[in-house]
Amino acid sequence: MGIEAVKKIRIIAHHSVEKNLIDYLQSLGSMHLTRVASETPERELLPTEIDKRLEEGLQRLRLVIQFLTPYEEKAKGLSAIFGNRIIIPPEDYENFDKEEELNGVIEQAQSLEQQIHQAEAMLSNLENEVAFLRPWSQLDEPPDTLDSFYRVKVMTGVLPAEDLDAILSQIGGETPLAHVDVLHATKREAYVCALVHKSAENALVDLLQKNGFEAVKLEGTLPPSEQIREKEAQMETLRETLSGYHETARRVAERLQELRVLFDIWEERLKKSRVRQQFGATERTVLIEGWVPERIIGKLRREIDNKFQLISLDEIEPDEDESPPILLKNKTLVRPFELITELYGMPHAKEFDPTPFFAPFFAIFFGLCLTDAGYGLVLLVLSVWMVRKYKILLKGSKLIWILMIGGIFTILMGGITGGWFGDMVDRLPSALNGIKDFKNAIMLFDPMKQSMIFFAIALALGFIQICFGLIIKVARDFRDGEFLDALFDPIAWLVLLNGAVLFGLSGAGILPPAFRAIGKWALIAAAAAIVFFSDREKKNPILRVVSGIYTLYGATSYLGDVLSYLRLLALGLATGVIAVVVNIIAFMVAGIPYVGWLGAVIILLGGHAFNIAINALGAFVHTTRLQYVEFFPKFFEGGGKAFKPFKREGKYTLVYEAEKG
Amino acid sequence: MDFLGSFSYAVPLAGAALAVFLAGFGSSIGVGLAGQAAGGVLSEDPDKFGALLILVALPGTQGIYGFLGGFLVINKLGLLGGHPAHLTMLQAWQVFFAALPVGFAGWISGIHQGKVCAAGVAMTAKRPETMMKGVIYGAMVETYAILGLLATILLLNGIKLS
Repeated sequence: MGIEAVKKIRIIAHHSVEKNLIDYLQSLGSMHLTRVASETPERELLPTEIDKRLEEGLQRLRLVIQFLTPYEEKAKGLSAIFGNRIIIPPEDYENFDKEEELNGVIEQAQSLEQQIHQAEAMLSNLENEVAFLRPWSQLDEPPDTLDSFYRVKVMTGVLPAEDLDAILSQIGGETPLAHVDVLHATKREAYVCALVHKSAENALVDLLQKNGFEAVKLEGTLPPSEQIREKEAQMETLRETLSGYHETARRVAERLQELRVLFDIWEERLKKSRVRQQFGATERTVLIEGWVPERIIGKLRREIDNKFQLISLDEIEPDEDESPPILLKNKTLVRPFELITELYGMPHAKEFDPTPFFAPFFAIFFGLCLTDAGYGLVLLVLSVWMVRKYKILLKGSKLIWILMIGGIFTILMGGITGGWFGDMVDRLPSALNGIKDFKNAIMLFDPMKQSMIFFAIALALGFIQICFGLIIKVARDFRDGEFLDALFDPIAWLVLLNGAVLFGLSGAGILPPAFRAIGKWALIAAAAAIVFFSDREKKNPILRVVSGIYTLYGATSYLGDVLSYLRLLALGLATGVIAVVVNIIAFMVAGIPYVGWLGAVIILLGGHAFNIAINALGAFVHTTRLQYVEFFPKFFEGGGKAFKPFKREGKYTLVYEAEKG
Repeated sequence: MDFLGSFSYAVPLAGAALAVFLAGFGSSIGVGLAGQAAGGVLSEDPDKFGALLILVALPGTQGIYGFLGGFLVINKLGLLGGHPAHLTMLQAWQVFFAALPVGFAGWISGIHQGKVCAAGVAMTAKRPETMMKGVIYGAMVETYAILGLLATILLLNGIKLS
């Protein structure tokens, strides 16, 4: 239970076995490597030529995978979320022999990408050219011939459309030897062709420029409309070529899975080469240091002796300031909740793993936040189905197991509060009264009508968990032999809190009056202990008492902590009420003739699915928060670093050995 | 129903409406803030959709609490299929005030939760493994919306209608 014992070891081996040793340690997957202290001679480990080539190859491969991915057929539904890892047996992974072939594919994909880029660039150039020529398509002459007249100058350009009529009539009036054709007009611009006798050219140019004329230079031995037709034909061919390229890309993309495997293989190769930088070395030997779980040391020693020669394995003492990495180890049912601890941060080496302490609370709280047996069933069925379907991919997933256990507790909590998809059971036709009887038989109270009971349950659970946290602290202080610390901190608070509760409950008539006196004196004694002894380091008695009073003021935070558990009530009620609302709306819609039943089914499915999703998220988040903010600070410090074994971690692949037999 | 009697319904219904739309304001602004931040991240890295969805959805609960408060008021008045309760003017105002905590707490906390979640989105963009920490920070803000809902539930519970 709790934290796995780990030992630091040092392996000294001859250079000749280094490579195989790294392979072995990776397949073992249970050693947390550390950098070998610098007193040992550092070896020259600049990135080798091979490393550099690998890095370049990886970079290229990354781009190729990026380029090909859109051409791949998409996985649908849940597979898109879970199914994108490639599951590959170790033999196939280690003997992957398509490297040569795939190098060809990479080159093909790269040149394909370049061709597509080029074709797309040409296409967009042509599009721009056509867009430029389009307004001039009324011009019947080839632009090049317009310059070749002896007496007449032809100008093409754009005039502002706004006062076009005024400009044209002005030209007609002032320069009789000119003629202006409007070829095309938009709201803002008019595309014009002006013909003028060369004797009047300057006059016309002046006039035009005064009116905002912008000359446009047209080129080509064909009239613009012909040019457009020609370019459009080119574009058509280009588009065909492009769709040919896309087709090829789709075909190449069929190799994507293999490319991804290759990516992981190369990356692993690079990683194995880089890990050597952490090792120490002498002229002939290599030094590997790291942490392994104590229970595998025997097996490790045997296997290393069998597999390698010229090797030795020793347990060594860690450096003074070095604390072991933390590897959590719990029983099957508690293990999924390690996720919550990992998210918060690992415990440090000298304290308890909090996981088994909060796991039962977590499950109950999660159930209370949902309090609907129907929803619990849905969560349970869904998570069991996913675990079965994605057995390998979800192997290490703790979240899915939390959902499963949470689902079971939701069924329990829903059962005692009578929630089955809201008030669905009460709406069933009377032929199904058996179900109703069953519901009523296991139901303890109705949270909607008797919310004070729920209120009391939430507060009581909060109080219990906080006291439990303090008890863990007492246990830890006792283990460390700090009895005074235990007495004046967690024990004093336990007495104070319980005394206050006894005092209050007997005052309210729930407990017999005899407890009132007990509670009162416990309260006074504990408060006195806290005021006078909580800050024992201070010599000055006045400062000590002032500091003690301030510590006693911390009682308000205990009050706040307990009240915070009321969120269980609010979230539980919220789930139930929304479920009821969904039912009300659905049954209202069901009254519509002919199509009503369809609407009702859609609303029921959609509404309850939405309610489950949003409230399961809320239940998870707020239950987690109760552990982090209310429970952990009572006893838990954290700050340990996680045990990260050297193992195979593919970006795309999961190397998995099918179970034999 | 006499004039005063029907008028007395307007007061608690105004409370129900306030609960729903104030908390709805808060959530829509909050989800909006987180959603904008997430949209920016997704344009760079579409794979983060699932992780960011949770952060974006988180400030949405205030709107649900507000709706819940409104529903509880309507339920209290017996307007859903039951027999409408007879209200005195005093009771009408009691229900009105009971509806306010969830509305106001949801409104302001929704906006601020949105800001915290947007920060969480930025954090997740740089360091995906910190996503749950952003979610927990968001949940810190949500506490006050929950307390508002709780106050509304308890207050409504305490009002006795015939």
